[in-house]
Amino acid sequence: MVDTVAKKFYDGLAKGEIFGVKCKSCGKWSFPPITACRECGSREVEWKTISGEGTVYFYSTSLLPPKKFQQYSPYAYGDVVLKEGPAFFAMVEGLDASTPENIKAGNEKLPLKVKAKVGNKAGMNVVIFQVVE
Amino acid sequence: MISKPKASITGVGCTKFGNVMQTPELKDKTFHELIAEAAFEAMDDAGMSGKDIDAFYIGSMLSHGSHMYSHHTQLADWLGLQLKPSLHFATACSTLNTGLGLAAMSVASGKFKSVLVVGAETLSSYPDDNPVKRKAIDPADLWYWTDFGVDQIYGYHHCYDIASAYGAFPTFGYAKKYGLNLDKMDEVMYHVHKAVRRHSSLNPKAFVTQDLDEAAKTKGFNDTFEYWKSENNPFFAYPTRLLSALNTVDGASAYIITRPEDAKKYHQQPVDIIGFHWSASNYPWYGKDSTDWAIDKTAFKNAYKMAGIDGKKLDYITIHDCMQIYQLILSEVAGYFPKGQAWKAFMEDRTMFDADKPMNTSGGRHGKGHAFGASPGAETYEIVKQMRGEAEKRQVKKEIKIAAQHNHGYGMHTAVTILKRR
Repeated sequence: MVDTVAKKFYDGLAKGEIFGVKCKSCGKWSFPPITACRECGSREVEWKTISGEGTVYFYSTSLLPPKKFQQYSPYAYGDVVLKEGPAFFAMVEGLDASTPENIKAGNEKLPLKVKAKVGNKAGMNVVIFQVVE
Repeated sequence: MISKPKASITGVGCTKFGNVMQTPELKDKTFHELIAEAAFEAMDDAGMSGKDIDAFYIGSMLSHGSHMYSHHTQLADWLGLQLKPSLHFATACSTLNTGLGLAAMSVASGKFKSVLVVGAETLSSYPDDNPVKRKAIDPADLWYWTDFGVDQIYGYHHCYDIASAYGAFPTFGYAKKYGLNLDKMDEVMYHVHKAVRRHSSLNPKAFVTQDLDEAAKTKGFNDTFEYWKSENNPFFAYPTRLLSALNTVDGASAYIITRPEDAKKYHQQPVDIIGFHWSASNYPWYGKDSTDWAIDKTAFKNAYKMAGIDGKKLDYITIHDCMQIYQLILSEVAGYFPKGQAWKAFMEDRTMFDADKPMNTSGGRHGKGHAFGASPGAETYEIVKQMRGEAEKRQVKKEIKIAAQHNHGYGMHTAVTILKRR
């Protein structure tokens, strides 16, 4: 029997909690939660809230974003690596994606520390990051 | 030591890539007719008829353009292959590269002596409840359906942006890794695109027929680099420009795989499959280093191990270039160029067909065009034609004995196949 994973994660977001899973076998984190450890494949994983701390290494924005997110365009979309280890790419607040020149200048200041939070985008609770320095 | 052949390619076929509502060679053709055209060219190339084919596999990714599944049942009689063993398969944009290994295993098992693999994709339009009346696909819809291939529980819904993740971040990462400032990186990508366009302009089956100098002149630019930097070529996702990205097209490709010991019965210049490997990974595909993808390293390492070679043995390589940055990153991962050297090779035009390190001579996914699942078959077609000396105006000058074919399948899947001239 496999427990619900996606619903538990999104229910957590609705309460302001951001869950990951930590492997009981190898000790590595997987984020967002899935049914097996992304590192070693073990199914023995433990649900825990993540620190939300991470680092953004690159960001940009698309001329043609998916139609679901066109209402936010141009938005900064970043390559973020969490303190716990996993990478997660998402919207990053506090970075200027308004023009190519500003994206170029903004990337020259990276990497920067970010903090995860829950945001409502296109009718869903999702993880977004905020620059903290 | 180079491994023995596992299977052989004895026939290849490929349609013109373009738009079935506009391109003269393709106009008004259905998905079925594209499949038949590529398959019949491959069968004729091998001197085979339907009775010589033991099984057939049909590769295609998006049902939104074809309006079908069970492709193999609907197409059996269109190919003259009624009642033959068949299936439909897909690994997205790597599909017909995966088909090389799939068919090689099929003949190596002893079950079949010959397999026809044929792929097609119609991305411009779909049959509008009428087999001969098509309706254009809105590009926003096409990308919505295409993005079904990426993490649908998490990644996509968290403000996903393919152009940044697949184009911009790896470009930033390559520039950072090798100390190139972003203006220099733009110049490097211009040179990559010049090679794309020179090759496609020499390929009669390519979608883009103008080389970059001609395109610039058409728009009134005498200086081609000024055209590259102009508003005609905006940033798709900074630092990746629009011309560094794919062109979606309609088209089909095919090849015939036989047992190595039978190959010369069908073609005097068979091309052998000596190694292959596949690797799959969910999104995101990398972390801090956007040029370091485990799936590509895994696929190349294991394909080389099976083939008994390393990247230095390659005379030719084709890299999946939905975004042209991968011509730089992955030719280095493949060992075709030493780390940090590919950008210099492109600046010196060394990857052109008539230079010392030829690659992607079809024109790739921008120049030849990208018919998702069928696109890798066009690269196999190119390698076989180059190895036989049949590539006409873009014939590689040096002798090609061993070649590697790399493709990415969205989501992401990497297929690498190693081919050797008999």
